Amino acid sequence: MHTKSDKPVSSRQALNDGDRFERWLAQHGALIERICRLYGRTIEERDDLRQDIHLAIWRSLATYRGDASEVTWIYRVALNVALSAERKRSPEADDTDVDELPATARDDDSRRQWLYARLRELTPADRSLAVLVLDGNSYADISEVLGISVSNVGVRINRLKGKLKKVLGEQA
Amino acid sequence: MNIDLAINLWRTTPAPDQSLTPSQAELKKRQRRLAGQVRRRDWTEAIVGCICTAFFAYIALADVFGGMRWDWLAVAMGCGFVSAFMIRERVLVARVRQANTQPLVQSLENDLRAVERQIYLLRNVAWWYVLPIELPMLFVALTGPEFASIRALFITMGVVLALVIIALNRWVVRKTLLPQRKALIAALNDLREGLDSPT
Repeated sequence: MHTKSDKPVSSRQALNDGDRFERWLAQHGALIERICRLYGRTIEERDDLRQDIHLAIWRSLATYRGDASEVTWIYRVALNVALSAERKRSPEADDTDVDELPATARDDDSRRQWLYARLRELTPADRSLAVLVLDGNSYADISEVLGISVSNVGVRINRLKGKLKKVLGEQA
Repeated sequence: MNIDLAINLWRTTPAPDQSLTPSQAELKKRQRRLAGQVRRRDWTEAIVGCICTAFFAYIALADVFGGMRWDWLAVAMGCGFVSAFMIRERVLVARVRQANTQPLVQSLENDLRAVERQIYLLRNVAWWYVLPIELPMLFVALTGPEFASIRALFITMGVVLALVIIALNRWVVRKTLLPQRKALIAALNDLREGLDSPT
């Protein structure tokens, strides 16, 4: 579960953008990596996506005023970039799935790769929600990232859970 | 695989290698390069438009063909209109363009508006790009060359060029913009699906 930074807005603003950027990447690098792995099907796509997200976060620093929590801000930037990259990708590349592994794999790495491959079967919008749910965010935080009402978040999550059970259960 | 195991595997995804984290100097350089590309594109369009407008205005007004030529002046005005229109669009896009910091739904709505505007422009390329230049050019061709065969050649070339430009723009709409629009609408519907929507 992510919590909002305890620092007051004024002290956050006083931080140099460069310092803040490095701190954000150190604290939330794993979050960005999960999004890259989920939306990028090949190593090249993930690398490109990671670079785009880093650049988008860097460019967004100047407009960060502390209205949203840092993690909400990073989710918004990363998911917006990931969804945008997904739309611009050529449909021909959809056949490629480097992460498809046999379900018999037992070690964590293989099972993780299998998990990401299954999650990629969800629609791009459902994947955004899955990222937020699997990371353990509250309904209010999810609502802030997605821009939909809290009650709608609840409905969407219930539906997503059904879909997740289906995609994960098929080869269980 | 049960959901708890999935959550555990998800949350224990290893963080990226430090070597994949870009340095600030590298990011500044990339940001400058991107901004430079956009600036160069915009300035090139503006300068080419101004040069064409000035060139045709000069031909019309500077007594090149013996006296003032209204047909060439119309070509200059056509070029001026097209350049002004393109610059206006660039300015509007730059003003509307938001950083990726908005909630997903708002961001998707903005992207959808931008894609729909692009579709509108490319589908209507005839009236804001082709006709303002081609019509005066056609008039120049009709009144200009002495030989009918040369006039016919100019007119045919002009019409073919116009048709090719229109067809190319429609192809781009079909090939890239309509699929993007479809994907945006699908994503928005996915996220907006309310309490009363069917499961």
